Amino acid sequence: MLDRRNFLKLGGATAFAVLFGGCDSIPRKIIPFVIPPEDYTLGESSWYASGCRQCPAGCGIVVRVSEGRAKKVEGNPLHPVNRGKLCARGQAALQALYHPERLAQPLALDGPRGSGRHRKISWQEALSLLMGGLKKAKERPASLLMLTEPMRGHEGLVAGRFMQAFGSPNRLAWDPFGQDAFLDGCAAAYGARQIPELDIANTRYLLSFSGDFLETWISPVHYARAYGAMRQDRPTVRGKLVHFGARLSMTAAAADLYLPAAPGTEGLVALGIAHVLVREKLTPQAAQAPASWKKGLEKYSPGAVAAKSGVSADTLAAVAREFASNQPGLAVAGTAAGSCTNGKFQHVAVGLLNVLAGNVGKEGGVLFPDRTAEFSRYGREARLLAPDPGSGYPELRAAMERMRKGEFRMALLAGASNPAFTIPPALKFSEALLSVPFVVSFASFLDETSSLSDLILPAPTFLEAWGDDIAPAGHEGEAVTLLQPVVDTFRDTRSMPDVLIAAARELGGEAARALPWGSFKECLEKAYGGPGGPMEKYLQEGGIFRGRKSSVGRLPRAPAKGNLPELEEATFDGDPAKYPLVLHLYPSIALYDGRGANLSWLQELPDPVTTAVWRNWVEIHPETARKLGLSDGDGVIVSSPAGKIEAHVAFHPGIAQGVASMPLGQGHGKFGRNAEGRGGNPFALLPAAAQAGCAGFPLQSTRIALEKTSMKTRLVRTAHPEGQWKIGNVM
Amino acid sequence: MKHRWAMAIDLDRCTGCGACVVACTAENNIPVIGEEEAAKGRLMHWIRVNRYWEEENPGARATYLPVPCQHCQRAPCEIVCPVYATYHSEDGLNAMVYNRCIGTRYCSNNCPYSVRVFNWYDYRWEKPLDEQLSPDLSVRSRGVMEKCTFCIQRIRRVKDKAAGEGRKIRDGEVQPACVQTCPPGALIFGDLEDPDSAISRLFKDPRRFRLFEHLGTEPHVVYLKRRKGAGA
Amino acid sequence: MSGEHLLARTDEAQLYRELSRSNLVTTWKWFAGAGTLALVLLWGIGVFVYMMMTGMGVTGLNRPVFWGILIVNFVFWIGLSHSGTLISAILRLTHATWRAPILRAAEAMTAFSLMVGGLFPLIHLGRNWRFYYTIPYPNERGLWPNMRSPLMWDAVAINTYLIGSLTFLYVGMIPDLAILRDKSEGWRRKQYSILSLGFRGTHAEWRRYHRASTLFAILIIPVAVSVHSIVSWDFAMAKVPGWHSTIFAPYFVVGAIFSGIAGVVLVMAVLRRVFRLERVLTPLHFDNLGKLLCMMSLIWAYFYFAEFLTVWYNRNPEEWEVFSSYGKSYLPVFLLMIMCNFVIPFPMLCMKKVRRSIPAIFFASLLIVVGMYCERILIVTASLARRNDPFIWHNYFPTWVELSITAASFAMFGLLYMVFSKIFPIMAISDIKERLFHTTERAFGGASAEAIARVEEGEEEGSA
Repeated sequence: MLDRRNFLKLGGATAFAVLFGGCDSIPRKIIPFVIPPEDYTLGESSWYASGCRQCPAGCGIVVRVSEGRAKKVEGNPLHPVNRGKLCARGQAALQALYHPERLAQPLALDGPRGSGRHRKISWQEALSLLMGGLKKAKERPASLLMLTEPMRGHEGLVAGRFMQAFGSPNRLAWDPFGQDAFLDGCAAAYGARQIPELDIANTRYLLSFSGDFLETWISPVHYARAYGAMRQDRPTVRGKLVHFGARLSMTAAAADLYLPAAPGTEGLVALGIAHVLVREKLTPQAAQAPASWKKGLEKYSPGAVAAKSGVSADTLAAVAREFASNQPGLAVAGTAAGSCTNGKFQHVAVGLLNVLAGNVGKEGGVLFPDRTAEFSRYGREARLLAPDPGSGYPELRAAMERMRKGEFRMALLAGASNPAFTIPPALKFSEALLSVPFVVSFASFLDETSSLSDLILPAPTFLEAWGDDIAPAGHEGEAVTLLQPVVDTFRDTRSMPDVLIAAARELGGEAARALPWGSFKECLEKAYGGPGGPMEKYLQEGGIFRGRKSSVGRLPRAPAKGNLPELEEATFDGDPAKYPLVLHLYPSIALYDGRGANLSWLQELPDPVTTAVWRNWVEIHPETARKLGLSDGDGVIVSSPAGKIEAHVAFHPGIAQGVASMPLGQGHGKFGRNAEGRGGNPFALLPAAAQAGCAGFPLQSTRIALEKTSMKTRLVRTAHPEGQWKIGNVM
Repeated sequence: MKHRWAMAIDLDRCTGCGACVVACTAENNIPVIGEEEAAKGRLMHWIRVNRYWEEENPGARATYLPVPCQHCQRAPCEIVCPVYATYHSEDGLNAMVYNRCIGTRYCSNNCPYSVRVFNWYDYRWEKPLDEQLSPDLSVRSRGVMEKCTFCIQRIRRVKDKAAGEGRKIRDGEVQPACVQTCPPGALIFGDLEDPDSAISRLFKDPRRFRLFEHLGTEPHVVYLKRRKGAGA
Repeated sequence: MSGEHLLARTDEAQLYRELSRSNLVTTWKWFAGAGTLALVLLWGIGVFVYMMMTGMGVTGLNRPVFWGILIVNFVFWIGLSHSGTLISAILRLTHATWRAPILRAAEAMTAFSLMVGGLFPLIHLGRNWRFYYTIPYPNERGLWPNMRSPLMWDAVAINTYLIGSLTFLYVGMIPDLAILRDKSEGWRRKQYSILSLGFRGTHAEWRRYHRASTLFAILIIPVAVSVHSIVSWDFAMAKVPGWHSTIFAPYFVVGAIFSGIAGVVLVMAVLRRVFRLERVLTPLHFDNLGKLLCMMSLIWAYFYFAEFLTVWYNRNPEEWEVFSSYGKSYLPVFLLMIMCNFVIPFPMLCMKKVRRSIPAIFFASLLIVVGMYCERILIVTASLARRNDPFIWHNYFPTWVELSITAASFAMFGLLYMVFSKIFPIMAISDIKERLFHTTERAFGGASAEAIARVEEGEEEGSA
């Protein structure tokens, strides 16, 4: 009798041969097992539609399930955000589901607080601990703190209502890559504080200002699809991509023209282009620009911009003319531009280009569809279901002050944004958190944050959970993603909304009334009309896709006349004499903010730019390295005024001199075998001081020094150091 | 029903993101080997994304080149295998029968694209990660070669389905995992025997070129050059 | 010059004692030496088993360098094997009369280095336990090996050569075995009686013996040439820059003979010392082999130059990358090869003094063996390390596993040789006797020297 494992082994071992056995008559005889038994067919599997939560982009997925096990995650072809496509991170969700280090049981602190030592307890005990804490906190409701990643859909509703009913206003959402600057920029430039739809697919000329829309920004799969379409979907038009930025990133590599610009000068370059547009009256909107704009833009001549940014004046003017003559065009700024201390200015300046080119509310330009229409019936509560994609940084900083003052009795933590890892240690988050007497985490893994907790409640991965989602970008009109458990919960887990609903029931009173469901599943069924109702179809399709053709939505008003953005310069912490290099941080393509670092598929995926695997590095220009006496692969101590970490030098021929860049995501101290001991955490280099003028979390805000040191590790890259230059041998 | 499967890789769309690599890893039970083994140049990925540099800043450029098995019509790997472990299928695929392989590694030496990978060890999946393993194909034992199959199991599935429904396979119905997931749509797969298929068109595209064409391997993978210039 | 060292003055009994010294006394030194080699061999076998059980990952191999020094060893040992049979056959056919004392040593070397070399393709298999898949026999798999694969040509060629050279060795040894039978007693006598096939030394037997050896000599030459051509085709047939070259077959044959002769010199020098064969293996023999070596060094350099020149001039980037890597990562190996194969030995061997000085020619031969090993490292691994796609280039360094197995292969060769020399006549006694038969002492001016009356085949027969 074949058991399942042997069946897999045998079946698998020969499946390939079997497949061929059928189509070729000669090799039939070769190995007996090539001829399958009569009843031997490929196993049937089912595909379940759901949504991806590996990053906040909110792609739709379908999951192949065979014999009760999830085998493969693919993009949902019906889903408007990703149309069947999926990135590396999304596909690696399976590894989180079947991760050997997943929490299988609730854990209670077993040792001093913050020691990370826990003992296994039963759910019953865990829930009584939780309720004990909640009841105690209830005496002073505002002493309950909830800190999660931004929660969208009914999960957000449950959490929001719970906190409201509990009586605590202290609900925080933390996302280190939040879009504060972009939102503020859109509000200023277009008069709409929302993430616009960037119609990359239909644009003819795409100006990217440190754009990372192909990598990690907002909705990379959606944008990558659109990018492919921009290039080759139209029979006679091929969109051109021009990239300004300090570093040749993956997006920059896709550009037809990559123009290195000094860090933090993206907005200035945009103003330089605006100057040319207006001076030469290249577009109707530029020709009719108000006099104050004309006057205000005078000082940003290409020559003046060139001096500061390093982009040559002629090239800048040429790009401006090309941009104007290839409409519709689109200007986009990315993480590196928006996370400078002058992030808002940069986004406003880039937005100005879209305004001057007349691309607002136009196909191939910037669109403002009403994405949250589906939730409008919730009225004011709609914000709980579709919150701003901001970072929550200012609120979190304020809350940390209050934590230290002992204002909170209990904290509920959830989500993958792992503040103990992503908040610079200079801000002492761990210390602040430990000054809250009772910390409860909903987590699937022990990471830097959850291991600080007094009680850890194992949460299901999103592949085992109910949910709904609304994506921050990529919707054509109304669309909601529905998440369903594609497999039975693999470990003894309960989702946060389920626990909150149960807790509210036990707390009774207002809380019970606010969350009147038996479970989170019931909550969703009420909302979407299942079972038996339309929800069944929604679940089959992976969500509600009304298929409405892109509505332009509310057309935002143009910025008030005379409201030209004032030039702000990016500031970087540290004395240039002591810290000669500007640090450029970017989210790792494979690991995002670090949440993917415990997945071996992602650790082993070569970085698209450096081709490095399994470890952290610091990129510098070979010339910069020569001046510092460093060679490729050297171990260095990276020090900023705020902190020190170790990393390996990786030569990067496409980075501005005087700049060093590092990917975020590695450097975990506590996140399992795959993640630990992979170099330093670059978040540790960021300063503690609040940055004036910066709306969100300032990733580009410090200078660093590199000092050679000997390290036992080495940086593994798949590219051969000489061979990678020999493209002439291949193409 | 005769087929000739082929792939086109549009370098004007490829962004180098690596989604294809992970898709392939998930679909084909490809082991993870860890940092030390990676340092030895033993990544097991069936598709890799080459990144070439040109010039230093200013003017630096990076070019991505995804390289799966090219499924050569005149495959150099096939003739040198002493035990017929790798052979040509009727569908034009270069197939690999693991349990015939004795591990001479001659095929990989003779592959100009270096897309074949070898099982240096018996790679293990730590429990319960093995729950993810696809039942459609095996994990390979130490000492055998393996490589991209154009997701033969997916081809077979579609063939069965079409045969069951008594119809021809539709263009675009067969999609290897990498093609299925490629976000910018840089990978296109299809049947060259179908003259109206997208792949048949792309095989005549003026941008097409094949890797190391001068070696006469006649790959079933064509690349489409990146186009330069703006606008129309 | 006194004539005492001349064999011509030696009586038969003394001659026998002198030539078969190896068979007669077994000293503790022999046991110590053989024991040490056996230990090294056992270690190597252990390491091989470890490699087989763990996987080839314990070697330094990688993508793209799928073949490493295990294959280098294969080429090296097969190359060494060319010494023997080829040299002795050619010398036999050309009636180079000085050949007699080297025949057996060289032929034995062929047989043993083939045995050692032939193991390596099996050792380096990923699934050694399935090696029989390559054997053409009707099997339940219904599958014959793929005869289009140069590896199969190899298997056929090497097996043919091994059988041929063993036969050649054995047939050449029959009269000697007969002598041994007559002179020995106990189990040795029994053994030699069986092996000598009843050879009594009648005229008819001698005539058949001479015919057979001539026939074998003629047959073995094309086999020997084909074997190394086919070994070269393992490489030259492949689409690997640095391998795919028309010059490879003759180039490998030349390289094989080159290293083979050097190997013979080394073995002879050792035998001469160990078994005190100073009177048989005279500087004259070393001088003659030295001349051959000198010429082969020149031919080798010419081939190398010719190959290098065409690639350099053509500058096909794929091929040029291989050669330019010789100037970078592989520079030490390249320099070692050039120095050891040509720059040092060639001028040395041009000098008669060097050729006649046994330590000097021993040193030169050692250099050549090392140099030829380096050459094969470069051919096998450097070419693979610089494959067509430069992105995946990767260098290669052997690990302790491969080095252990390599050391074991040398130990195995040494051990086979030691055992052989203990049991079988390491000197071709009858050939030497035959030579003496035709030799008289002549006076040349004031000195006396051996003069050899050369007997043509026909004459010999006629004189009967």
